[in-house]
Amino acid sequence: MTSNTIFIVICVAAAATFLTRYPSMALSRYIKVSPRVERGFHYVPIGVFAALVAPAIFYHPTVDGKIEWVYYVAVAVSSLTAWFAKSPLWAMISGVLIIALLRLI
Amino acid sequence: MDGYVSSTITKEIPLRNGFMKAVSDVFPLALSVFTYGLAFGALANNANHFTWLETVSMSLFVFAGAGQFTILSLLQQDATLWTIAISTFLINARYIIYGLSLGRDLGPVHRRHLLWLSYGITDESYSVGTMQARQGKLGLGYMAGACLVVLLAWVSSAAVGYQLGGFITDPARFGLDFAFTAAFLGLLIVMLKHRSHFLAAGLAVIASVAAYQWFGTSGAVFAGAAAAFAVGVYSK
Repeated sequence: MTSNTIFIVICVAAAATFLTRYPSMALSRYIKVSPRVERGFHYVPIGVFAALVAPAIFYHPTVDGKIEWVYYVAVAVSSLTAWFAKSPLWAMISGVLIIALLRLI
Repeated sequence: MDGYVSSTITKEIPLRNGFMKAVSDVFPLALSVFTYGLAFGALANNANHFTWLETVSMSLFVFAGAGQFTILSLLQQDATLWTIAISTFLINARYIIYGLSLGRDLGPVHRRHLLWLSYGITDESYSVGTMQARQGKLGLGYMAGACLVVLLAWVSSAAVGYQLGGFITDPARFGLDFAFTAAFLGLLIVMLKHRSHFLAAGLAVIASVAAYQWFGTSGAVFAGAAAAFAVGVYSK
């Protein structure tokens, strides 16, 4: 594959990605919606975060045909940390440390 | 309105204050972006034999994690340009939801600023932006700061990852494969304050897990967002 082809691919992919980003953002301000629908939009982030996390946990691959239980321990530790510390940063740090330590052991 | 907070934009927030607040808010997410970007850079080097310039250019201009990994895979399979364009659009289709949601909160921001702000919309900048909007404090400075930090983390990590190449053969060994999930898990849990939020999250989990099997990440995000949206519309 030549360098020119790769740069054409980059341009096409950049344009395709931009089409998902700008038009909806620009148009959203011209769409008038009822307070109920407006309220619905404020629940969208909860749905998005749940959707980014749930499949990763639910479909986490097995290791040698076995469930990787340390992964689920890390999920529990991260969840508890987030709940009590109210901080995504601590949730991430605690989860990564726990899973790294348990995998080491 | 259970758990609903108006997201009226506050024009008085100084640009610099908003920018600095965004930098500190998005920092933990930028760390997970960095680890992800290292893997992209290494893969572009090892599997696709990109040059350093091509790797950095793709991260700079496309700026879409899952989308870029997909492009690498499609290029290995000699996919056509059309296939790459359509796949990239579909993989990144969740940004349509983000744009619709954030665009409303960024109401008074001038259209020419929206043009470059929209380029920086990612899972991470959307996450912190929407949290800020809930407090009625989302402004141009904040969104610019969030987008810029994530962009810098993504592009620099791809550049470093490319150079490290073969050294990062197993990010899972250091628990880095869990960073992304942990960060978003933290964001989700911090947002759950009312019964209707838990209901929205529960339904979104079920919908996204079901949709993921057939439609991948974007399908899961659409399904999860739709489920939560419905709860929001019908909650009192």
